[in-house]
Amino acid sequence: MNKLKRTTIVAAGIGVALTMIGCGTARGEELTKPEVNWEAPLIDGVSQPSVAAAQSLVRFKVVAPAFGTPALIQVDDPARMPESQRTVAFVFHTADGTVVVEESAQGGWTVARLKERANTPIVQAASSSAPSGVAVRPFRMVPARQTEALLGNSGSLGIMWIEDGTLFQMFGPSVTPAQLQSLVVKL
Amino acid sequence: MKLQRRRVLTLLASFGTLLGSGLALSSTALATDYCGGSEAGIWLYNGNFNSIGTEAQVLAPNHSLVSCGGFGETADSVNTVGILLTTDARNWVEVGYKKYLSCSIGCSQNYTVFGEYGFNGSAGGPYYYSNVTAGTVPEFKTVIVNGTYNWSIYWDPNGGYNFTFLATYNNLCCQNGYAYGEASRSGKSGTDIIDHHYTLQYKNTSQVWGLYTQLLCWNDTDADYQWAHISSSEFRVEAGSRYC
Repeated sequence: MNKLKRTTIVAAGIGVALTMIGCGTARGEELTKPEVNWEAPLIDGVSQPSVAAAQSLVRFKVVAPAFGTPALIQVDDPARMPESQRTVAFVFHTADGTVVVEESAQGGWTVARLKERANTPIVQAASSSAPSGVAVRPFRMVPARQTEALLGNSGSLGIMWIEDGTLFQMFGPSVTPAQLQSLVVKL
Repeated sequence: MKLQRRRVLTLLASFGTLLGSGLALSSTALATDYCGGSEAGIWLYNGNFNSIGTEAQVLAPNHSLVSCGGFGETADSVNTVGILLTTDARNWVEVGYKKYLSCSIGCSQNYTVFGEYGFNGSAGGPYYYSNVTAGTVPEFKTVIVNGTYNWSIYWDPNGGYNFTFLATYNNLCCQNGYAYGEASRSGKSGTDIIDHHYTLQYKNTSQVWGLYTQLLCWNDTDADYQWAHISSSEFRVEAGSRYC
């Protein structure tokens, strides 16, 4: 094989390798669920005209968040969801971005369970460099409103706490954990 | 020669049946790329939030995969069953199979059982288990461990209700939810999500198993595929542009 042909073949090989390095992004490590619909977060949600209307469909005391007028109030479809398990969801467009506030009955949630979740690692996607996956702790406990809350390491993972028999959750696509902690104080 | 031709035709007919009517695809049907972190899929659920388990037989087609380029998993097609534990879709548990391309210098095809869960939007997994054989009809199940917040997943390689335990995912949010079936994909145009879910069942809080009594569309983001209602407990995914 002459030098020119060898050079050509090597160059072609490098070209193929560079093509494969490309800009493609692996999906396998990402969520396989549809993204949260930030503007209407409950998949079976029924829009409510007021907090009072939402209150009529649930047993726990609904708190109207002091974040201005909500863009939407939803309650899980009463035709499909038992009253004791329904969630009320508020959607707000704040200076920190879209924020969803969810309220539901405390149910089986306790501070102890929140702490257990914070202390339980989640093993995420295996890869060639980490064949057994990577163990992460996306949540931690933080003080909030005279109790403790479970705070995620991104705004989409949200903040979660229990108050007067109600489970509160707050999350958003672009809000930061620090901003969520500020909003919790203002609730 | 005549006998050979008949055997070939029979084999092709069986193959066509296995892969479903969605194989009758025009070149214009598979027009959309789902790369750069995007994915498309169809999710259907049973509308009964008292589901504490679900199972179904799920056809394992020989999915076509076209790489997005780059390294890692560069195209995949996923078919699963699961429980949506909260209606904001941030908590779930599921099991099924994934056929995917794994690329480094070259690309290899993998067809694997996997499981995954979500807690407040943070995903655990995917965790990979056994290999799947294209053309079979595996069965998958997930069910709560009674009295706990732990969910176990199982499979049977060829839909015979002889389940093999795969794993238990601990300390999830909830003890019941909506049972669902899913077909989804990522990859360049030509990656398919042909699917057939049979005998979709759920276990209710009274510990009774039964067939889904309805199929509701939770979400549909695929521009090239649509779902077909066969019965309240059976659906197919085939080429088409209708959403939900």
